Order: sequence, then C-alpha cells, then structure tokens
Amino acid sequence: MSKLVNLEINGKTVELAVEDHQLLLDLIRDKVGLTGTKEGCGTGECGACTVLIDGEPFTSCLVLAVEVNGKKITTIEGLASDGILDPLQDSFIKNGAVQCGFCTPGMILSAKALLNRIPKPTERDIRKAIAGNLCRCTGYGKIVKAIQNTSE
Amino acid sequence: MRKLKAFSHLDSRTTEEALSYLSKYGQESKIIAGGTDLLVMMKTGKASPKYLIDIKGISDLDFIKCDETSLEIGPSTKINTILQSDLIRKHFPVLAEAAETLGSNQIRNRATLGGNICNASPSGDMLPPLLCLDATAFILGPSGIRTVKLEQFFTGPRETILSDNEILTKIEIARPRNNPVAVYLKHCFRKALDLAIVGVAVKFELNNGRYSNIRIALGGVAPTPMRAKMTERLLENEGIDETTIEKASKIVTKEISPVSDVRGTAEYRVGMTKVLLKRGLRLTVRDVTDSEE
Repeated sequence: MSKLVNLEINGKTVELAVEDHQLLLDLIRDKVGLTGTKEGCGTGECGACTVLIDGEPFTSCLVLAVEVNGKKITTIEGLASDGILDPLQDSFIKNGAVQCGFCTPGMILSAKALLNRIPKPTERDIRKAIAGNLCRCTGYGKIVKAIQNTSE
Repeated sequence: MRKLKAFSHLDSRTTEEALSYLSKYGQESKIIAGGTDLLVMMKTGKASPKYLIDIKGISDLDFIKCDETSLEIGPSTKINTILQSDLIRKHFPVLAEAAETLGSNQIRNRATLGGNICNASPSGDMLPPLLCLDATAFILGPSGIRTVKLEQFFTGPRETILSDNEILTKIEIARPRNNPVAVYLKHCFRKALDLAIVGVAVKFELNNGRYSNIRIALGGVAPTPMRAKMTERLLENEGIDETTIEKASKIVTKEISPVSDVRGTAEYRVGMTKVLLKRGLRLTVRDVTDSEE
C-alpha cells in the first residue's frame, strides 16, 4: 500500500508515493533519478550513500522513505548551483582528492556538514567527521587536504 | 543491492499507541527507533517483522534531564545528542566518551540509547559505562511500569528481559555525592564503524582519599555485557596501586568467558582485557590525581 510523502530535495518540493519498505536511497536513485548517491554496502558501514537530511549527514540505506516526510534532503547534485561548483567540490578536484569517485558524493556531503558547523576545522575535526566515509583509493590524505583548503 | 521485504510501517504518537500496537501484533512486530541495528538485521535475513512500530515521533521518549539527584535519559535519545549534551559532558563524561566510539557520525545521528540497550549486543558501546554507573531501566507494559537494574536487563546475546508487549521508557542514573571518575576503552581495528573486540569501563569515586564504589564493566567477553565483581571487590578492599592493578588483571581473567570469532580468538580477548583493565585503572587514577593538584 502506498503512502504519500512530501519533501524537499535539493531545494525542490516534491510529493511522492512510496511503499513502507522502500529505502530513502532507492527513492533518491530510482524514483527521483538522482544517481550521485551510491550504494556501497547497504548496511550503513561505508558511507557511500550519505545524504544530508535537514543539514545533517545520514546513511540513506538505513532510512525509510516514509521517515522523511516534511524533511529537506540534500544530495551531491544539490551542491552546485547554476552550473557553478561548490568551493568544496572545486577543492576536491584541484587537490586530486577524487580517484574512482565512488566515495566522493558521500564524502563531500559529510565534509559540507562539517564546514557548516565548524568553518575552520582542525585536521582532527576533519578526520572525525569523515570517519564514516570509507575510501578504498586515496588513503584519505588528499581528501583531508581538500577539505582544509576549502576552509581557508 | 540490499532491499527490504515488505512490511507495514506504523507511526506511533504516544507510548500508549506503541504499546497497543505491540499487544496487537506481538511477535510479528518490532519497535523501530533509529533502525541502525534493526534494518541491518532485516536486510541480512536475521529479522523479518511484518510490522514496524516507529517510536521516533514520541517526544516523551526523547530527553535528557539532570538534577541534583539523578540523570534521566529517554530511550529515543540519539547517540550524537548524548555526545553533544552539556549536561552529560559535565556530570557523566564517560557516556559522551562511549558515544563517540559508536559507529560513525551518520550512524550516531540516527542510533539511539534505547536501541543500543535493547539490541543487547554483548559488545554494545554504551553498555559497560551504563553498568558502571549502576543504571536502572524503566519498563512500561500493559500493567504499568517496572524497574530493573541494567545488570539484570541482559540475559544473553541480543536477549533481554523485555517481554513482547513492553517498551523501555527511561534510563536513570543516580548522581553520587562525589563526582565519579570513569573511562571507557574500546579495543577495535578501525577508528570508526567497528565493533568492540573488547570494551572496558572503569569507574570509581574518591571518598576521603579512598577509592570507593569501584565498578568494572566489560563488553565483548561474555554472552552479555558484565560487571567484573570479584575484581571490583579486590580493588575495593586493597586499594588501587601498581600491585593491586597487576592482581586485578589476573583475577579478571577468571570472571570472563570470551569466545573466538572473526574479530579475535578467546585467548586474544583475555589478553586484551588484561591490558585494557590495567590501562583503564591507571588512567582513572591519573585523572583523579591530576584534578586534585
């Protein structure tokens, strides 16, 4: 049986019919068609599916679609505006913090939430904030640098 | 792709509503708060409830209250809320310390104290510190409220004394006259997103220069989180110094019964319990000594 949820995705209000057992991750990717958010593990242990809900990072593979009625969701697609990249995205590119790119959407959103809370984070703050986003390619060094360079 | 089998999601606005759903659907239902344990179990076929009773909307279950006599925490309080709470950081910082080791930031925005307790993993991170603080669980059922000391709450791995028609409504911790000193040490491979191979919590109060109300609670070394009472008694009687710390590290091995699993052998867990107990005792003694100077 379908339920209606009203939510805002990347600044746009939408009303969607969802099933009780549908995951937010699948809603975003399959129903809304925003495939920047990735499924890595499906169990909340890798962070690839990270989105912001009301500004805070969550692993969308463990959120039900019915649970986000009335919420504001930000996916990676919501960071650039009018084709202009967010400074964080720019910094990731300039600092070589992207290799295969699979962890990157979730990583950037975790970093974005951090910078919104702490505009000038220490390295320790950064590593703690992204500890829930696993990267198999980069060894995290350039990711941390990219985030630091954005805050300066 | 990990998908969920179909179920009905029931939003509850009050605890009474949640209880009536529990009574109606019994074993076919499960309570969901953050869902960071439950949804994983459902995705991996370890649980398949037909009804999920969502308690996130019940504001009565989400609170942190502290007065001169006690700290009270509602079961739907998020782990990150505990981590960031000024009241908890001031009066019971070990709970914030333990909260920070749990999962990841994303998980902590969702996971709840009640979930960690009711999921009853032998290595749940909030559990050894709660045991050290002599926490009491308040449980609501059809016939009213009952209280249970948290150390009686756990009956086995992922098993508790909760009946199918009961819900945890509050955790209460009495505030001692002297500020307790406590530490939680979690031994695991990664800096986040890891379970405790062994978790050790140590707590005591300083009363006229004497270490009293010593508590040692362990995770990952028994079917449930546990208190090491023989070890506590030794230290209570003989004090805490390098000699008794060594003795304690030997006594504690007689109280634990770890198993071998993917994270480590039983022998490794025994060894690490000794190491972390010694470390925990030294750290707490140093903390209290530093604060006296």
